[in-house]
Amino acid sequence: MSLLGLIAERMRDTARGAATRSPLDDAVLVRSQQSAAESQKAAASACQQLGATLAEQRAQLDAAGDKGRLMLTRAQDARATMRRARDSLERAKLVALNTGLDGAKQGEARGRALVLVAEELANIARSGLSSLDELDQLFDEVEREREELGRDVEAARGKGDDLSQGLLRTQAALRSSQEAVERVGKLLGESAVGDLENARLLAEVAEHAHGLVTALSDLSEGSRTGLVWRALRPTLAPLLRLLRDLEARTQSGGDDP
Amino acid sequence: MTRQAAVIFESRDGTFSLPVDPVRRIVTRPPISPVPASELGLSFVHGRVAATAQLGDGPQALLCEHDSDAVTLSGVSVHHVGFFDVEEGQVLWQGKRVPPMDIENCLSACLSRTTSGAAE
Repeated sequence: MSLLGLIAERMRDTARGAATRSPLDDAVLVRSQQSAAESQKAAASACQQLGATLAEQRAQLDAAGDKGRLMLTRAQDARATMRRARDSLERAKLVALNTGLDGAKQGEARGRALVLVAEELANIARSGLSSLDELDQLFDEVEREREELGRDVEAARGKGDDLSQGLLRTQAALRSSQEAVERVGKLLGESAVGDLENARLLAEVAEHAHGLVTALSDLSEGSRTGLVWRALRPTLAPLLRLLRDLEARTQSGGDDP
Repeated sequence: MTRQAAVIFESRDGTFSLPVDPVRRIVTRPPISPVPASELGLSFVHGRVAATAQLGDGPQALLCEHDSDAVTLSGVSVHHVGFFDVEEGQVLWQGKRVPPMDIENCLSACLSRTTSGAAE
């Protein structure tokens, strides 16, 4: 039966004014309450750890966002540098073409060397401009990927915020349930159980006894019960004596049932 | 086979050659001031005001001398300047014949389109 079920049943008994529950039931109730309290502590600790991890993740995402912005600035600087390089190469190409023009006007015999040099320079400038075009395309791709990365980081940040809010709600609910379980513990402490430590011990004894009875029942189903008894007798004999004493004291009214 | 010093350039109508003699400078495409009801514009290149024909969207312009007037063929892309073989009046470049650009015809074509446009 669940803790709440046991509590409800106990409350009903109390309302009827009849203490129909046994001390063992009370002991089980106390143990369940203590177990619930321990589980809540573990859950609260896990929530705190999760909160710390979320805060760390948030800081890392913020850092990633900052780096993305820094990348954008650097890409803009690089593009500005590329524009200057392009202007220089265009001017160099123009100078080479005009040099070739001057050489061509001197006639092939005199101007050929100049034309060849100018042509070579123009080709170098063209090659540089072509490389700059490729760089431009690469930068476009990097820019697209950076934008995608930025969107992913923003999405992860949003999910992290959702998680943080969910965690806060969970912690609030956990605090409420902890308070409720504490109240239950106080109520149990004030009830017929009396001594909580005794109740705990009683529950432990009941659990062990149940296990012993089950194991003995299984053993006694076998054919060699005599052998089993002889083997267990040194251990069980004191237990039997203790149980007989308890029963005798109970019957003589030496203790409460 | 004769040889010719020429400029090979690309316009929106194709590849053309122009003898180097009338070409003064190869310049960056200049800003063009439009002339109302005319396909020709005006540009200021190398300290001279030049009648300008827009031949395309290329990055360069050819500043030429034509009948003592400055003329700019703008929006071209210059491929090559040098000496080329000539075959049947056309320059051979990269194994192909390249038709010559006639500045007079180019200007006339612009003016005729202007006239017909004004008449409409």
